[in-house]
Amino acid sequence: MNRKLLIPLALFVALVGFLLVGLGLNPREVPSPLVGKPAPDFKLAQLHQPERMLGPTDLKGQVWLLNVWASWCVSCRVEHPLLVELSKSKVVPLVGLNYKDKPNEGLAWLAQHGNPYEVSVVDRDGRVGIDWGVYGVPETFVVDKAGTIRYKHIGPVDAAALEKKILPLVRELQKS
Amino acid sequence: MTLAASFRRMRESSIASSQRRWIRAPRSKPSGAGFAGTTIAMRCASVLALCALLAVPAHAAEGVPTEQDRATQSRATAIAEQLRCLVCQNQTIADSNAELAVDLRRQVREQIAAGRTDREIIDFMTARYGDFVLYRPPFKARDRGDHARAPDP
Repeated sequence: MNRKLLIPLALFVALVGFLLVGLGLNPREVPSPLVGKPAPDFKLAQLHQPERMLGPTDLKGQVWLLNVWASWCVSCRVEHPLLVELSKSKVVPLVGLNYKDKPNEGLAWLAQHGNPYEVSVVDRDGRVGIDWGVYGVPETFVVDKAGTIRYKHIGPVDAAALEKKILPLVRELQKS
Repeated sequence: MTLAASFRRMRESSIASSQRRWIRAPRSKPSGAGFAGTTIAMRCASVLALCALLAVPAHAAEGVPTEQDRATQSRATAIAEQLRCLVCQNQTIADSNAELAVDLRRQVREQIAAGRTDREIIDFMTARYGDFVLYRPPFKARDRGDHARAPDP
């Protein structure tokens, strides 16, 4: 066989290899620079008790999850049954960040779909969302005992992400 | 028929119909083509005068933009043009009307008003959203191909 023909063939195979890898990547998932950094501080009113405030400093010493949700968010409904189940298992406290939502609509949504959150806080104008690098809803953060963000899940949490990534990490962090 | 001629005909017929409408309207004074013409002119003048009266207080309430406002606006636009809208990805936050883009533009304006430098504002954004928020990300050796994934315009 002509050896000259092998060069374009090799280049073609390499190109196909790159394209195949590219197919498996999701451009919507932007890695967060906040992983490994202290959780951005906030003091926000609680959804159910607006006179009471909550922030990351109140949660120090335990591993917790921050789930960004909104009543207007369609994909939040997809992950919601899983979050309700998770809250029943009492493995890890789930804190909700009610993002750019009207409090009465958020409350009605939780009443209708079930409330998996230990507590939800109200980010009415989305400023805390910006501090946390939120660019879509839902997003879920794992925060360790020292208050450092250890993982960020973008989009609805599914069973695979929960079982393979989030829960093993939570258990590992709870031991340390 | 030429295009110009057809336009002329359209204009003439619209004038004719508007005069008809004015003539038909019940009037106390005797009607005629000349009268209809002056009425239109008078009406236009009074509407314009009313507009002028209404426009003045509204303008006064908003305030005439100063040189500083213009400078702030052009700085805000220049910064927004460097930042990627993370929801739409192929647009800058200056181009996008996604809600997050609107919020980030507000952040930029507020930080300019607070006296931050352009560098500080860009750093604020990259600290939260990473280099991906820069519409033209810097090339760094440690990149894991994150930017190569991003569809470039």
